[in-house]
Amino acid sequence: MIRIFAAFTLLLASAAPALALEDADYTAAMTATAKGVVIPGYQSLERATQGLEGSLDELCREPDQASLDRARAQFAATAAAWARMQYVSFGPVSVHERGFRIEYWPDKRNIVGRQLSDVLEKQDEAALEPQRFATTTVGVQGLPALDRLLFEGDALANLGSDAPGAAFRCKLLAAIGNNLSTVAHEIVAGWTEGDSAFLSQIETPSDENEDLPSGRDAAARLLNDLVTATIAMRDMKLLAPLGESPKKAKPQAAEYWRSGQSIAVLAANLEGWRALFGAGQGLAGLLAAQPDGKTVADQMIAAVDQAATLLGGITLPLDKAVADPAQRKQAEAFAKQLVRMRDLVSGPFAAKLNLPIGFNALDGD
Amino acid sequence: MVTRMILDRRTLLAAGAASLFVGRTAQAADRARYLSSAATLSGRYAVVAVDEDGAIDFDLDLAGRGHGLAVRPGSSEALCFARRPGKYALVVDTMAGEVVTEIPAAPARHFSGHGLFVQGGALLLTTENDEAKHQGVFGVYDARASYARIAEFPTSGIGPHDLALLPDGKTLIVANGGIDKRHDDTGGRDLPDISSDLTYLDWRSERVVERVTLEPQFARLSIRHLALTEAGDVVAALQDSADAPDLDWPLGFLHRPGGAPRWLAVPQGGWGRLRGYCGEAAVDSGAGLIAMSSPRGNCIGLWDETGAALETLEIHDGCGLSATGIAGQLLVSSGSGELFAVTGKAGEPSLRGANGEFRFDNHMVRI
Repeated sequence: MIRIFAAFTLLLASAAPALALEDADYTAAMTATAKGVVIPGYQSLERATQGLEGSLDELCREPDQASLDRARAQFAATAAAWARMQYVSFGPVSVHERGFRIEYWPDKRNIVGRQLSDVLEKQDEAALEPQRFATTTVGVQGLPALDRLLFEGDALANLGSDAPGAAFRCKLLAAIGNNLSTVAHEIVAGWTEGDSAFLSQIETPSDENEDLPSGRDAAARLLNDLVTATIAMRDMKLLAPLGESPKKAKPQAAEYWRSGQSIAVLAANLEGWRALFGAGQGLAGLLAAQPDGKTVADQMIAAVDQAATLLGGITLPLDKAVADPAQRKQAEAFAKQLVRMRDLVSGPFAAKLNLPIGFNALDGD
Repeated sequence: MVTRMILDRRTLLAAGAASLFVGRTAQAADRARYLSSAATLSGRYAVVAVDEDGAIDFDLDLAGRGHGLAVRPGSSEALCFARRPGKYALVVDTMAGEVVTEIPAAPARHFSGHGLFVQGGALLLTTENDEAKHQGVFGVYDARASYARIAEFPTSGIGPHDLALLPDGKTLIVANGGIDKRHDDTGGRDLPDISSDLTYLDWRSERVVERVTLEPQFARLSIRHLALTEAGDVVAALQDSADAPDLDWPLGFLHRPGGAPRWLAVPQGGWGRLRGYCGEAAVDSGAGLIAMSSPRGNCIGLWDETGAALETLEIHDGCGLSATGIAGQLLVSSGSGELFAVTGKAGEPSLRGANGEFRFDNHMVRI
């Protein structure tokens, strides 16, 4: 079918809602999203890391089951707080490898394991000094190292006074806790403090700012990040451990399988998604203000809520679920729902707000 | 990763509206132009001609997403194929900026998105799928007779995609991707290994001359897009058919008739930078430059004609590649509607222009 009246359809399409959007609209929406969603998300992460740091210090002072349980709970809370913000790849989190330092994952070559063994063997306390530790190998700096130290083997016995290397192990735990809270603080400060605060770059975009020349660029960047993260949830966090069949499953490809947090962090990823759209402010508000935008906004909330329901149906820990045929079906249904979520963002949402969300990247041909 | 500037929308609208009413400008005719499938953000699909600075010369509606293109030698005609599984190919006059005709897919066949002309532009060969037998076929169309479909013959494989013609004019090379519509319908990841190959045929006798397959451990890789080097090698660009690709696997090889495939060298930054997905391959024969694009990895890998790695350049959602006529320079189009010039030497891709209305689809050819 050839449309002869191409010129007219173009004119009509161009005259559609996007015409009403000025760069100031995007800038205002992105500013509101930054203030209402992104910065509070990082502040939550900072608080979680402070709690974790305290609990690790306490564990070392008095290693018993109660202090270990508290440290484990703070670890889980920090992993979840990070997962809520994991989709954001730009801004202060991208500087000085902060994202990798919080969570170096996936780790197909067991870099965390090897680096951790190396550090534990050398017992070089000078290397734990904060400045040096911050520039040491990323594998030992963050959550995956804690996933092993707190959950692998008999974590409590390893910290006992008669265990070899227990004192160093404690200092390493403290160094990781301190490092995580420092990195989280730097991210918050990067967004909010000083003349070059990232928030002020969002508030006043400029052609001279190559990364964020306009409000629309900033919005496109955030939404592209969300799309990429949604597919990463599917490909890296689900499909990789699922493998092609129960027999070919790779349970150890699951994120945080040692601590059993694989499903919890996926749930937190969804919470981050929902926070971006559920509050009805910022970009979500801009969407709702477009003709029929409310319909799309409602679809997106419904889609993420449905995803949370499907995820809730995976009742076994993910590294066990991948070997269970019924649980695999549930995981596959969840994976399909993630694609629907992605398609809503890169389709109707991107169209309503006139944002370019990876066109060729998503083609698959 | 750098997000490039998006032009002010009002400027774009004004520019777009102007081009609607004046049609092709005299100035545009003097400049190198490129044909590409495209889409607007509001979801309108089109085939567009764009000049080397990124300005849209003309755009013609497509009923759905387009894909590959073919230029008819000795004529101002070119084709835009519907994206696989496609039900039409559009013939356009690139001088007039008009639709010439539309070729519908034959019954129980769909286009795979690519085609080329043989016999000096007299015949068009397209890659298609037999929907009943799930086998690849070439459709043969007579360009001199309103593109009547006059014959078909097997590609001797499943899911044919891109194709190329050796300089002898008779040896056709087809990338049998190994994936057909049934695979797409199951979502890809539940597949056993696919069966992809590179097949050489004599299009006149329809006989298979040579078939090239990958080593068994790479049976999941789909051979999708082709280019030819001056030295006589076929460049094959691959895609990992798994949803979670193995980031260490190679994604491109060189092959010369009678020989074994030779993997391209690991690109700068490792194969992982290409995220298991090459969207297009192109060669600048003047400078012996090979390029493969990875819109998923937001980068373009460059090699020399021996397959030695040069640079890997960052371009967000870049996919379409074309030689430019300037030795050592290739043009890259992106899903954000930008054109970049890249060379084997300069470190950075240079932004030639952006249009902000149309996002460029996978492929681009010089017209």
